[in-house]
Amino acid sequence: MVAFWASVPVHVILGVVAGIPVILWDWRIALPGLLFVQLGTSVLIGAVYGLPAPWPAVHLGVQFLACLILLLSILQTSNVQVRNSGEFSSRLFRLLILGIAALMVWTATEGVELPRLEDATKVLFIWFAAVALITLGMTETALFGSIGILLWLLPVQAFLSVLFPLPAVIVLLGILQILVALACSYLLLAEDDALMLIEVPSTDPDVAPGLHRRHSIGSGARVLVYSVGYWFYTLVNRRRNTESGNG
Amino acid sequence: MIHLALPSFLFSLFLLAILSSYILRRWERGVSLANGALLNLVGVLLWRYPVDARLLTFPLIPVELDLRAGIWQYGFRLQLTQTNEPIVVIVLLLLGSGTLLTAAASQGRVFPPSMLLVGAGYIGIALMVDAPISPVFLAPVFLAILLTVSVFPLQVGIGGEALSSMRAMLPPILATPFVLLAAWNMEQLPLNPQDIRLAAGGAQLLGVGLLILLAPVPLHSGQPQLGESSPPIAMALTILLYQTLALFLYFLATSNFPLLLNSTALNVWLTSTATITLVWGGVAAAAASNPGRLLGYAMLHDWGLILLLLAGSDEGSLPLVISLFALRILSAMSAATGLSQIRKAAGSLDAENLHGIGARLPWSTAAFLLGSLGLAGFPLTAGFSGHWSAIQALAEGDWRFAAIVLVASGSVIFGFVRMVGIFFGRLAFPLLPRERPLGVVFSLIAILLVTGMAIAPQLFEGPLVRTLLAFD
Repeated sequence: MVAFWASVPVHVILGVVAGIPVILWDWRIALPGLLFVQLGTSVLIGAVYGLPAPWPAVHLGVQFLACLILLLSILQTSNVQVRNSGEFSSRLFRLLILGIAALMVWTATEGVELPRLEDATKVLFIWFAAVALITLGMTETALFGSIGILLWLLPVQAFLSVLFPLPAVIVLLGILQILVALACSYLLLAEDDALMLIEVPSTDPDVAPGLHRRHSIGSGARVLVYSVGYWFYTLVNRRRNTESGNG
Repeated sequence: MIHLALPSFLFSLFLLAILSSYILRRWERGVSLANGALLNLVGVLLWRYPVDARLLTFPLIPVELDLRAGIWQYGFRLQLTQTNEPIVVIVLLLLGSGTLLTAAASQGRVFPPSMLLVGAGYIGIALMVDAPISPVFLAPVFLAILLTVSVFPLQVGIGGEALSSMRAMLPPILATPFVLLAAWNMEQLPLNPQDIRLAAGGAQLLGVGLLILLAPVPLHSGQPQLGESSPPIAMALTILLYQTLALFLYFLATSNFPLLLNSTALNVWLTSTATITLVWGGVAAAAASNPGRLLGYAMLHDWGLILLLLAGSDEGSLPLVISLFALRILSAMSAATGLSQIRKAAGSLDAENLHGIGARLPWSTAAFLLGSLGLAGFPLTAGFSGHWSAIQALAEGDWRFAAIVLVASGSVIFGFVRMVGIFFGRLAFPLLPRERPLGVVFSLIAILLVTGMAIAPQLFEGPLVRTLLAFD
């Protein structure tokens, strides 16, 4: 099990998944991608680096909560531009930038020393940081800004947990991740000009029917099912649209 | 009689202020005046009493306040010491004056409680004397948390441009891994005293982390963008509170780890980035047409000068850095006082709305211009004495740096000359309301403070000496 998670192919898969959101620049890919990378990293530092049992799960839980917070704000925005705008140049150009970054990371990491980490994990974490910086450099929206910051904090949290397995450090970084998600979800709503015009609370459809958000969420219990369902619906719908566009 | 440690007293005070300003937010003006006056009073009293003073008692209240006592929770110890006392006082006075100013120009009803919450966090960082990892290394994480929370007071009630608030929170987030990795290196030193690489690596990482925390160019973008897009008082408070703590951390780090200055190129990095920062602040200010953005660039220019002096890192530069930063606080708060009134009257800070506004809001305009020009070291403003001394100190080392500072300052002043042309041009909106009495009072106080410091800078000598003693 340890040999599997420490293997290079696993590291490569995690690295590729981290880069995909930059190329596709779509929140429906970025949020699950972030969770997948977090899942892989949590298992990696638990299995290979022996981080005590609750902490990898805590990392995953915090990232899940952060993604959920962002998703709720995405559902609240009426303006599609807020969700998908700020796409920097074309996919091919972004792929080219990622390729150059990968080459630079590959050559630069030889001189970098990250204590207690194997070479493959070291390269992987520096790659995550590079992808995060590229995302932050390219974005013009709070949504991808938050994805960039969360991707930056992901290897930071994992690496520092290996170095300092102290509850204080892990909890503080977890608090930071959740606050980043909260702040960026607030900024995401602030970016939506249409939302600013409506004075009723968008979570209360009974106050002014017709004025609330079309994706108002009245019951907290439905949040998760609704979110996943909406994500799947829009993903399928997007594929259909793309296919019809190509046709 | 209740025996209370100072940190507990301060946090109770903040809790009271936060709750009252949130619950009574409909009466924002009265609550802001009361809370602002209270915070200023506590700040002044704290400055008057020495840290080793005996127990303080209050009339009619059964509370004994112990200034020396600390609190210990979850491995963190918070205590007032001679070193952190000036920082705690500065944060209290900044928050107090900022809260007072919101009484004249509301920044949004949720602004006072959210800003006070952030301010309580800054007090907590300043008071932290012990932690599971050395406070110097853990402080960037706390700064990142506080700047993340600062998004709420910065963005409150403002739609559209949201990226500037996000960019402002980046430096501490980016600095965190470098500083914590440096902490690990330093912790390993006693176990491997012969390993020179550990000490050198730790110092290098700490240097990089501090440099990122100080946010020179290219990490500066939050400052001017916040100036344009955020309420002026929120912008000034956020930037000044953060920079106060960042400078404090720099002093703590360089005094605790002398290796940082001896075995790294921190001074070289700081000199080069600081020079670019002050030049860019000057060049961009000359072209800025939005007064908020112009103020942001003037602050950036001034910050570049402070960093340049910090890079000198000799005994002589410390008083200069502290006096320049204190004058920066005075100038920036004065400018924010005037600008918040202007923004409130005109509805926005777009240049087309501001033509001739100086005729309708003369006191606010004067407070803004005098404060802002102080950031460029214009004669007869608060910043002049600090800038003049700084230029002389730089010229003693290398005259070219002094020349660069002069040219960049001239460029900032040119930007404000353009702004004066807009403010005192033909009135674009004749129905623009005149200044309100409370706004006039605050603007007058700001003008008096700024010109007072310009005419008699020796007034500042006492606090400066005490702050210097605290850092020694």
